[in-house]
Amino acid sequence: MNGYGGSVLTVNLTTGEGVKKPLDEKLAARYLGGCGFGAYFMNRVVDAKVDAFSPDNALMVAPGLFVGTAVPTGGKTSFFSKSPLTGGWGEGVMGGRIGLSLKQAGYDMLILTGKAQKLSYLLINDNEVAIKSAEHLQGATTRDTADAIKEDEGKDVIVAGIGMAGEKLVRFAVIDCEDRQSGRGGIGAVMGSKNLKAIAVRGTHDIPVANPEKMYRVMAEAYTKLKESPAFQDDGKYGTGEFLEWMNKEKGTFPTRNWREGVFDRRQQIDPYYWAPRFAIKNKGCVQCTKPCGKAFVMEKFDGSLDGIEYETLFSLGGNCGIEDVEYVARANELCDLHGMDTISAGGVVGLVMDLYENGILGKEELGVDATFGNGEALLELIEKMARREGIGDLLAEGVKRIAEKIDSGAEAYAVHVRGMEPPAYDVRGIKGMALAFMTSPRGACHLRSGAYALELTGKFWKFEGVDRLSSRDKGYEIAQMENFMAVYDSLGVCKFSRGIYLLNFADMLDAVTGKPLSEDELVTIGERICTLKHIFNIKAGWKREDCRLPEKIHRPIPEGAAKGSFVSTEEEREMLDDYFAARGWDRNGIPGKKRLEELDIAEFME
Amino acid sequence: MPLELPYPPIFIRNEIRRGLPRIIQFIRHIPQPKYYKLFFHFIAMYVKAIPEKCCGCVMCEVVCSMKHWNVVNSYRSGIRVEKKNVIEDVPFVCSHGHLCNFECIDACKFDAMKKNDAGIVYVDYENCTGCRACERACPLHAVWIHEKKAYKCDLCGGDPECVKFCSQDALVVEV
Repeated sequence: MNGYGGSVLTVNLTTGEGVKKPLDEKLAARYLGGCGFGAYFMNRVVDAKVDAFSPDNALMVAPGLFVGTAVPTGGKTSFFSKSPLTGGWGEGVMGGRIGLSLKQAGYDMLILTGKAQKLSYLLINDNEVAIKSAEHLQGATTRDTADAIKEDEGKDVIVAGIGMAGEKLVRFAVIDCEDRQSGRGGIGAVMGSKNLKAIAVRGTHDIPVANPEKMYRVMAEAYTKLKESPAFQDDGKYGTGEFLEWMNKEKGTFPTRNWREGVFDRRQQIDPYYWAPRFAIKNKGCVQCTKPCGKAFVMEKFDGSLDGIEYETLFSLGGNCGIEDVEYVARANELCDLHGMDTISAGGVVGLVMDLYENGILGKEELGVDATFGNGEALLELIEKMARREGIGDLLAEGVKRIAEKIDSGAEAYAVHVRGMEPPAYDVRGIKGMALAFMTSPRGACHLRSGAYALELTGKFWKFEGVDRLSSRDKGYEIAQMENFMAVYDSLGVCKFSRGIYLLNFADMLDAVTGKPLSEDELVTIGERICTLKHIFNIKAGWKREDCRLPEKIHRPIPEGAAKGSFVSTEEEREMLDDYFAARGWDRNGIPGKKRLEELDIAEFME
Repeated sequence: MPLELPYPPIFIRNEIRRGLPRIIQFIRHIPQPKYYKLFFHFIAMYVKAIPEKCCGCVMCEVVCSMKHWNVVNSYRSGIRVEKKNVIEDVPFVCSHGHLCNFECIDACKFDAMKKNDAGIVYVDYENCTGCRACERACPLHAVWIHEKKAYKCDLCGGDPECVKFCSQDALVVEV
């Protein structure tokens, strides 16, 4: 099959058996790849009611359709599982080479079920599958794991593994491949619960495309477009945090000190315009990327280096914890990477702890550190404890929602989460469309399932114009369309940072890769099918409309800055949700109507 | 202050560093009837990799295999990036005699590794048996064997595509 590896591999880790099945062509045409295949197979293979850590839960890896073709910025791979953090749909996208090598080995989908007897790693060598002991790697960092496996199996295997946090079942552990992380919502912990330390893949087959000459031409065109775009310069020089100052000063929507404020007053040092020229030595890119936004950051105060710091991490470990010294943020980021933890969730937890400490709910005898906002040493120590589940870390590793439930005594008012997921760096009090997107995203508070922040903040994108970020009107259709848009990007495996350049004009690329061009409308329908399937998985896992609610802090106005006084009221919340369900063709309780499901041809999943 | 001597240009520096063996090798590889091309042999171009700039996106591998074989497969590429750690991504690519002494040509027993009039070292796939002699001999680790065939840079006939698609300018044509 052109553009595809051609088969689906299912490995039962309990018995060590692997089953290789050819990929159904109809399935490929209806779901494209990546997150589309994930949505289909998660509903088919996983019983949504099982516990996330039980052996019946599955861990899936699916490279996007454009992975392993010559489409620039099309190198994203998705990981799926039932999330231990939200108890629903879990998904993560990364730009490591694991997807490329999986596809070169001939697999468009890797499904791992069961549980290995002892800590081990999975080796996929084209057609051979082996489960090998990884007991000597117990507690090793993600980088050491990759190095050790490469030493045993050869330099050319690509390793995606977990660190200490995944082994200890930290509920927001992630999977790491070549310092690219994936799996917000604890997919790394699911991997740890399966006693799987790493997946190592060597794929040596060709990936055929339908029309190589056209492919080459399309690649050259896309490359020129990307390189000439202004984003190439900005991202290239300052990374994704380039708009941090703009978010603070002009929009006033940079959540600070556990969402107390919308402007971080001590942001001078965490601004990339300050640190990029001083600490970053070069750019780092995902596979197939021609506009890299990562930075190779070498620290001076500490011994180490990392790929970062991204905008979200500048918020979560910087502004959200009140840290002004960028080197502490970098060190905390490196610790999260080494142990395999999600930086947004880790920062959200530390922010909550600092807030509770300052408000006298948690004391120094419990924490062991002086956890005031801005204390960098405390941040590092709490992250280390969290990853190892030592002392208070055992509680912190459960995520914001469970911490607030266990501490009780009014802690719920300080906990910022949607369905258990810690939110990213967009203060939704001043971006109301994003408030809706947080509520409706299938994996809890997430900015990437809709990507509507750019549309809301600049006012226009794609087919929308004149959007007002401070109004809650007509957001339903907008967010639903943006979610469909982004589902297409995830299934094609294209980077979301090139959405301003590609929009949905993939007809030429699809023609070159698979020989079947798809128009914008057809792609949006596929996107809607994928979004609805993810929602169906959540419903089966026990999702209810009442779960879609914003944390209490969002109901209080922003104290100062450009968005001063703005907040989301409960009425607005209800109104926007109704609007969204209507736009989706779902009923008032968020249950998809039979008619819409039949139109999308997925009615059989709802039974 | 000590007197600073003028720094000689790169090809003279290289010649000084390599010394006699390089000159002997060089004369051995001149196609005999075409003496007039001697000067061009001396400055044949090559793709120079700058690891300090490489971002590890492997776009060069994708483009190379696409250009030569119409598929994407990093194992069929004539340039490969090794991601050593967070800050080290090292592209390996043939220097066409600029940084070596044509060890691959000497090592090949089947006359599969050849040099053309323009000074480009290429693989003659009719003769190649995949014996790995060139892979072992190459001091720059820029020749690889995949499925019994050798793969290396052939400069795309004088207009290297990987250089065009390197967004970080980590690959440059050097003469």
